[in-house]
Amino acid sequence: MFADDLHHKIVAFQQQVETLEAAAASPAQVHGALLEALAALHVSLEELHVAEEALHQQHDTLLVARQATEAAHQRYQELFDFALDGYVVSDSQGIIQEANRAAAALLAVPQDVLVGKPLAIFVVQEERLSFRTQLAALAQLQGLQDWEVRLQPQGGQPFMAALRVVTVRSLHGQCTGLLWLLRDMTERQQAEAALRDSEARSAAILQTAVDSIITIDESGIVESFNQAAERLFGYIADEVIGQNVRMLMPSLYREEHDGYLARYLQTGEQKIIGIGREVRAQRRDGTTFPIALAVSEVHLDGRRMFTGIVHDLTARVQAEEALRHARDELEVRVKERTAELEAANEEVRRFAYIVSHDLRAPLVNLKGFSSELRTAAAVLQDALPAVLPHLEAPQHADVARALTQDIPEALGFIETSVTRMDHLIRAILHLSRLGRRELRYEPLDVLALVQETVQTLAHQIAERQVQVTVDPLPTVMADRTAMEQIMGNLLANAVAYLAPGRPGEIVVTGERRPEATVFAVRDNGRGIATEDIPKVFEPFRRVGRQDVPGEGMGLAYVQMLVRRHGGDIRCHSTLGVGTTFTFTIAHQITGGEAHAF
Amino acid sequence: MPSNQSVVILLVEDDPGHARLIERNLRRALITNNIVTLSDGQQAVDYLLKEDTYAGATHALPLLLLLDLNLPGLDGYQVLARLKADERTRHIPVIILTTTEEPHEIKRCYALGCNVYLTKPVEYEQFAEAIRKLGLFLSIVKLPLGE
Repeated sequence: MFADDLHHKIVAFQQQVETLEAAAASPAQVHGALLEALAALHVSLEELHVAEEALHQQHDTLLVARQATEAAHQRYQELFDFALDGYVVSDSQGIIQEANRAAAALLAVPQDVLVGKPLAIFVVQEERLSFRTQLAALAQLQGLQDWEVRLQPQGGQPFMAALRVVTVRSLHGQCTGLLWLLRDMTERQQAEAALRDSEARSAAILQTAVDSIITIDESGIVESFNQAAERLFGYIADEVIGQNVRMLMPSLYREEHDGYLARYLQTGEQKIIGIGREVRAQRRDGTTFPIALAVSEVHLDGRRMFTGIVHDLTARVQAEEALRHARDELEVRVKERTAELEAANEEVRRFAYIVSHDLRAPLVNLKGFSSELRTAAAVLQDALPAVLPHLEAPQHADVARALTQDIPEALGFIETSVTRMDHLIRAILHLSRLGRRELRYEPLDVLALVQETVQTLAHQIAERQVQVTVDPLPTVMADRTAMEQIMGNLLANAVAYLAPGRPGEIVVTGERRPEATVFAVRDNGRGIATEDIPKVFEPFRRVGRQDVPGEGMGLAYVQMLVRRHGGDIRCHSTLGVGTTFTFTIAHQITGGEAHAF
Repeated sequence: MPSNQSVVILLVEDDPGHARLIERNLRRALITNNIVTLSDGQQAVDYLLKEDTYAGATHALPLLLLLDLNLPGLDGYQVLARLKADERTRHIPVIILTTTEEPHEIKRCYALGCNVYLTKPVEYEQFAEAIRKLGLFLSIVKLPLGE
């Protein structure tokens, strides 16, 4: 090229000079040759000048090129130095010639200190020998080599590192150096281990879950089928995976499923997905069974799949069935028992009615004929003064006594007994009627009702100087007449059975509780002996000192009426201190109310 | 009230004591009609409709029927129903005389066509008074003549 060109010109010039020197030896030829030589020299000088120009230009170009190269080198040096992975340049023996910051950090040694050290000293003791063997073999190997070794940073814990090594070769193929890439594997290993672990765990959970778990793709093809599903449906996973999930459904659901899935994908209309439903499933043997199905939608790697969790409801449905059956049976028995009780009740009522009615008929005769007898005796008594003188002495006295004493006395006993019998029968009849009367339930302002009742007792209350306190009372659904009788009897008793020598105090309270409305009538009266308390509600039973008139039926009526309101009545009393009657009224009478007699 | 002896009052009462007391007190109210007493509901129906033991009998039908409710054979309601169902006897006024004072029984009797419902009081004075008043009442009311 240019340099060769210059070389040729210089050779040609020397030849001309030699030619001139030869001419100088023969003066004849000197003049002509000199002129010739001078001309040639001139040409050559011109050419040299051109060449010099060209050299100058080349030098400039080289200078630019060198600057560009230096900039590029700087850039690569920086890339090398600041790279995240460790880079090491070594000679063919592994003696470190250069190391970047990352490599220095990995090995915990400053960059400049690393230079001149064999890389092998940073390999853990146990692996150092094999490392050297591998290193020695590198000269014969082509391309990249990936090794995993445990590196020992200075003063730190060994770590697993991935080494990538490239041999640098001369034009003759001689190994002149090695380029190393060092990467800490610990984090990656941990991440990989975690991933493996999590996958294994998910798979294990999926496989061992108690509920059956089935995943399908968008077109309904089964992708996974766990062990519980295998047990539940009687298929093994391989028989189901790759098939349409319809195969697990009985006819009715089977036909609907594709359309449902398609509609969902198109419109997002949810019938089961994200909601959960109770449906029927079909086993391999064709039998169907109830399940609770919960489907959730999963987006994974940009595609949609559905996870179905199937919970077998057979046991629950059977239990419900059994429960329903037991309940039905119980209901039938309760109905039968209720009917029996009602029949028994009805019988008792009829009995009470018939007895009281039929017992009254003879009473009419007893009363009627004793009265007729008294009339007849009166006729005889009128005739007695006229007849007596005609009688003998003993007979005289006997007749007189019979007519004036014995007959009236006998008639007196008969009549009082009949009257007493009549009262007893009337009381039973009344009780029987209370048990049969139809109750009319209405909302009752019990406070107003009690105040009216207190008014009817105003005379006795004023006479005995009784302090009656009526607290605010709740409203109840009850029969007005019955409530008046209940409160009337309790208040009248409280007024009638006060303790002598002590101002009477009567308090009426009431409270609506969750189970029933409770009322109480409390007095500071004479009280009832403990052993007498159970007797107070019995018909005709009158306890304590008999100084107050009464037929002994009041509390029996009260109990009857309270029970007919679905409630109960209790008596708490201390002799000499006072008595409290507490009764409840049910919130709602359900079913056949008790006509208790 | 016609005091003709042939115009009878039929008293259906199973308790002979009651029957006697009723009759005695009617007499005290100066009721002089012949009083026929029967103690059995079936017998009363047969007498009225002239059936069975009374088939072919020629007695005049009673002017008035005094009827108890609790009777052997047929009870008072049945007697009343049979009487009111027959053309020949439906016009006969019926007075129920019973110990029962149940409102629904009183109602039932009027529904079946009884004319008066009286309760026999247990107190004899009231009983006697009630029957006497009934006698006085009968003496002033117009009754249809039988047949």
